[in-house]
Amino acid sequence: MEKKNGLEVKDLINIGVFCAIYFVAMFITGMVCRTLPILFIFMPGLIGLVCGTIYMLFLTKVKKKGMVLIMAIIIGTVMFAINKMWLTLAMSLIVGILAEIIISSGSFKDRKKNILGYAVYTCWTMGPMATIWLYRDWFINKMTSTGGQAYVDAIMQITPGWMFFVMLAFALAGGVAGGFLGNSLIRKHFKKSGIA
Amino acid sequence: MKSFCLDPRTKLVLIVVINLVMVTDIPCWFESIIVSFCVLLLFLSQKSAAAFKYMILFLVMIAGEKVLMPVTSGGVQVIIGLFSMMFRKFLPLIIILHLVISTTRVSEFSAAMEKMHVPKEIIIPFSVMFRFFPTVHEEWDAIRDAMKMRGIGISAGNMITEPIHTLEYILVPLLNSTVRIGEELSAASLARGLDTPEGRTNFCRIGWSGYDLFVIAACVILLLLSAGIGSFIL
Repeated sequence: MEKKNGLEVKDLINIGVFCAIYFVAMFITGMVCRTLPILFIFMPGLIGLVCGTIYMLFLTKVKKKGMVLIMAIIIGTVMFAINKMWLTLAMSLIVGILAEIIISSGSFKDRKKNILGYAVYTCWTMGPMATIWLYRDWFINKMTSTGGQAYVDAIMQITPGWMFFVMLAFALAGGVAGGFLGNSLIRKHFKKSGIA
Repeated sequence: MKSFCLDPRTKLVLIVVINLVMVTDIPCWFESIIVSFCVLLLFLSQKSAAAFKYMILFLVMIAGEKVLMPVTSGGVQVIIGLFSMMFRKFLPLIIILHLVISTTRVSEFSAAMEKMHVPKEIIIPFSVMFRFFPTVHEEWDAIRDAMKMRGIGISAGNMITEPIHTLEYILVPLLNSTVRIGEELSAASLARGLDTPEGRTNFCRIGWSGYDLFVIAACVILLLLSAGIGSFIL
């Protein structure tokens, strides 16, 4: 089993470490974006921007088939346990598989494919977001009980149907920007300190 | 009598059930039952100080909603509402996570996952991740102290005026130190033979007991009650 997919224990531990850092950065960004309704729209994009460095460094550390998918499964499961929307898990699996195909087709070294794969992976954040449109009543109910009526009204006002595609575009753009930022930081800092 | 101790699998069920029943606008009396149940479990696991603290916190939140909210208005009311209503929805989950994290060792957790036949490719990253959350927190505190000494503060103002630089100042040292710790960890676990192809033996004995039965029964009752109230998930 180990020989086949090439993932050794060392790699699995690295995946765990990066899952922890990714999760913390993603969760804090998400929390900050929850404070103002207008920031809510930018949440997927901002998560993409903030976590780009972590993800790019992750790609330089492991470089084995399956790493992208395992991380997607773990982050998806933990987020699903927190926000209880099955779309989180479904979307994580779909973009996880897509990103895995894109990134491993460049054998983890192709910069463009890495950035594209990361941008695709960032779209998992659109899974929970899609609840706004697909399960509007449930979403309103949940948000009213945790955020108050005024907050929900504001969110509903700024999220007509086409907003989904705007947010998806933000997620992709944020992912690409985060990927570029990550690559430049890796060249500037991590190569020097011998981490990457 | 054996001291109160739950099987990790029961704890998993507990987390899922508490998550499920706390979803939407449940009535106050049902919320009180859930919180009391969680606090009782914490009390039974010899964490009476924490149990007491959470109970007081819950009562303060209830008082905030019932007594303070009607007499205040405007911004003050929003802040009190945020604390006493929004944060209160997470309280049972926080109590259960406190219980689970403080009473489960990582090896117990991975032994239970092995019994559930979860593949190694998922178990190892999962247990490493939970072990690493406190580490990320510690490193972050240390980095913030170091930055303060150099006169670089992380404030909301900096985040808005220089977002990319602030991000760089936070992420670069954080990644540097945590990745290094991760490498040390993997060296340590390789030395302990985590990558041997043979099946591993485990020191932790995992098994069901009467307490598990009690907790699972209570979980079923909570689920039935919340289904009866009609606030259920997607």
